[in-house]
Amino acid sequence: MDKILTVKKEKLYSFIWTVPIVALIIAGTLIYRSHFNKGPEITLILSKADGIEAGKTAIKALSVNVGKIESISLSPDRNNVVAIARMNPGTDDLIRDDSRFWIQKVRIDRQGVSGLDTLLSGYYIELSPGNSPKPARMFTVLDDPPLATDDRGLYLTLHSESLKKVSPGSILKFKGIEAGHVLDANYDFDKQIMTYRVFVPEPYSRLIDSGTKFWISSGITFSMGTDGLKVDTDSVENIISGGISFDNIEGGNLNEDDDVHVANDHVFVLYNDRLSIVPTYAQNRSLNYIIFLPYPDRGLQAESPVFFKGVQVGVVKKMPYFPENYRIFHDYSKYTAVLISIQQERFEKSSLESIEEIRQDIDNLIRNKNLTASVENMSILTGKKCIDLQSDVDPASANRIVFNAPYHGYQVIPSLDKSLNTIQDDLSRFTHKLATLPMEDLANNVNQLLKNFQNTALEINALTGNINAIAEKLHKENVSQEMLNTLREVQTILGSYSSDSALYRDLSLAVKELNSTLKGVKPVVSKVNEKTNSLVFSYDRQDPVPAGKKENKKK
Amino acid sequence: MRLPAILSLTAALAITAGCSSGTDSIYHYYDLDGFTRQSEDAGSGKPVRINNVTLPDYLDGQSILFQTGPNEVTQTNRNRWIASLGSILSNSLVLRLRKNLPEYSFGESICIQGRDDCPVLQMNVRDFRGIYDGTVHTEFDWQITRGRELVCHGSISRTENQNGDGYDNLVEALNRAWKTSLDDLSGNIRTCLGKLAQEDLKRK
Repeated sequence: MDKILTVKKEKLYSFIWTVPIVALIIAGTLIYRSHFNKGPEITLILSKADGIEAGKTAIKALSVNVGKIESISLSPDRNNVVAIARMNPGTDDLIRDDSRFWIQKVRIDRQGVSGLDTLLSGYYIELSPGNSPKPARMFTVLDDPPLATDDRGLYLTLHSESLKKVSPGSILKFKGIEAGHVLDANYDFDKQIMTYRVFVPEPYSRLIDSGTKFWISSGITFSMGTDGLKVDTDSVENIISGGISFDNIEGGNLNEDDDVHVANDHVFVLYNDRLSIVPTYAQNRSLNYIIFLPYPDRGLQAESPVFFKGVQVGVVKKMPYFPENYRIFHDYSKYTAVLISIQQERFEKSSLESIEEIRQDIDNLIRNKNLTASVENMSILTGKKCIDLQSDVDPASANRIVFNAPYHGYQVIPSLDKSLNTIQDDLSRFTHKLATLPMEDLANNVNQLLKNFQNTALEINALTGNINAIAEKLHKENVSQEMLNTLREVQTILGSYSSDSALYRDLSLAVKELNSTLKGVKPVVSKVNEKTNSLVFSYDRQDPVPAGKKENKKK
Repeated sequence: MRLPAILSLTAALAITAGCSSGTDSIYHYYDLDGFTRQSEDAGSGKPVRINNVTLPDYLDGQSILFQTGPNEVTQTNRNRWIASLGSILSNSLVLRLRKNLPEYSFGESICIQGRDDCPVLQMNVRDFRGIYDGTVHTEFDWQITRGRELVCHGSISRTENQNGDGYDNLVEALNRAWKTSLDDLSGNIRTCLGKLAQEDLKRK
């Protein structure tokens, strides 16, 4: 048999070549992923790099990792820290021109404790994604979280002349509900006022109109006014943490219907406290007059009311009133000028009359009806005074002070010099009261009282005699024997409590038992005092081993 | 699948058992001269009342006081007296005196307190401890009063060597020191009450 020789054709590619090919594919994929599948690189400027580590510190948006810090270095001017961060792929939409970054760490402030999770995870950088169409690659990292991260709301400016300071971050409250934040607080050196920038988010921003009042909520405010003591308290939280409150106070503005909604950067007055919010009156609906007082009255001051027929028609504007270039030591007059303001809105809200018509009415009253101003007491307790305008005062009255010429452009309302008059009136009233006292009746009553007292004394004497007689009788009738018997009984009862009685022994035993029980309880109490949870967990320590005397051991 | 589960369960049980048996929670209780088992007849001699033995707070408990250094003492946790030390010492005092002085009748409620003709023994224990140098120390003050009269008083202090390591030996040494001290006290009381009887006789 011939052998058939078969020739196997050799394979063109060996199987072994698949290994380098697969390796090449993997390497290629890795190179592609590392170079072409990267997220954007951003530069972050930080004031300092506390707790920030290259390759470790994460960038998070709503607790989702969106990037990582890759390197940290000092800025060329050495004033800041420059951190290069690599964002995850697909995060381009997050890093816009208005995106904000801040360092998230443990914070203890008036709003409580926040960022406790960073104790375990370490600091991270929080990103608040922006909405701007413009992308950005360089950001400044804030040291603290931005107070207003949602722009829907109102940014307002508050001016305060008070030195009471409200710090940035303080809460704005509407009827005790958190309704905004103080963003910034600056002192304006030119105007000498504090300027606060505040943010009121929606929906609270809708509550704000031109009539809204803002005040510093310092807690509890006491004020002693002409109408007595006023106390105003804030919510407990505000008392503790302070802040600013706002509200549309009823009556705060006279024409509340005129209040309009305000736009961003509207300026409001920040009142010192709620009690100092006074209605604002239009200057163009006020008339100013001067009255002269013969002596400085301490009870009268700015904002003291001015009454006409029992209705408040205005207030004292300046007390005393010093005109321009006034030199007090060159004024030889014995009178002090007081500027009062008659405010039309106080007595006539509908503005039926024009202010000129009211001026004519008052002129008419001064000329034809002898309108006269006098200072009256408002409160004996506080010593506050007011000005009362009266018509039909006797023009011949010796106390009436009349100045016909205007004083520095202001018309003068005649006034009454009550300095002497009041004392005379008071004296006459007192003497009248003294004269009308029923002295005769009083004397008769006292006489009657003395007689009654004498009778009572005689009766007491008689009673004492009776008691003596009874005592003697008792003695004679051998009551002492009964007393002796009673004493014996008492002795028997007391005997049952003596130290050799059964009751005493029982008591003694009970006390001993109690004592022993308390002794048993004492170590438990001490142990619980030392370690509160010792009742639950066992703290079973080993006792030291007492060693025997060495000399004995040697023996 | 079952075998690994069984194995891990067994391992967990073994670990738990090992951990739980790691601490020995046995307590040792000690008694002085077996006072709980003893009884001694009060006798019918002259009555002498024994008031409660007083102790400082740190002694009057169930812990044994052990001095571990020149300025350090510890109260034991696992080695304890069978009852509070105050009651143990009170009882052992009564039993020992009844045994040593049968001519008198000792007891805690044997005669009325404050009665003029009944002597009263009062004891204040100041020390009762084991010490790190292998010794034990006991110390107490005593006084006998009758009515408002202080008849006699004294202090007895005793240091004994501990014959071996451990609390058994420590308690044995304390017991020895206490018994010897009570024997000394018995002698003092006999002399004191003897003198008192002679004085009473002279007065009569």
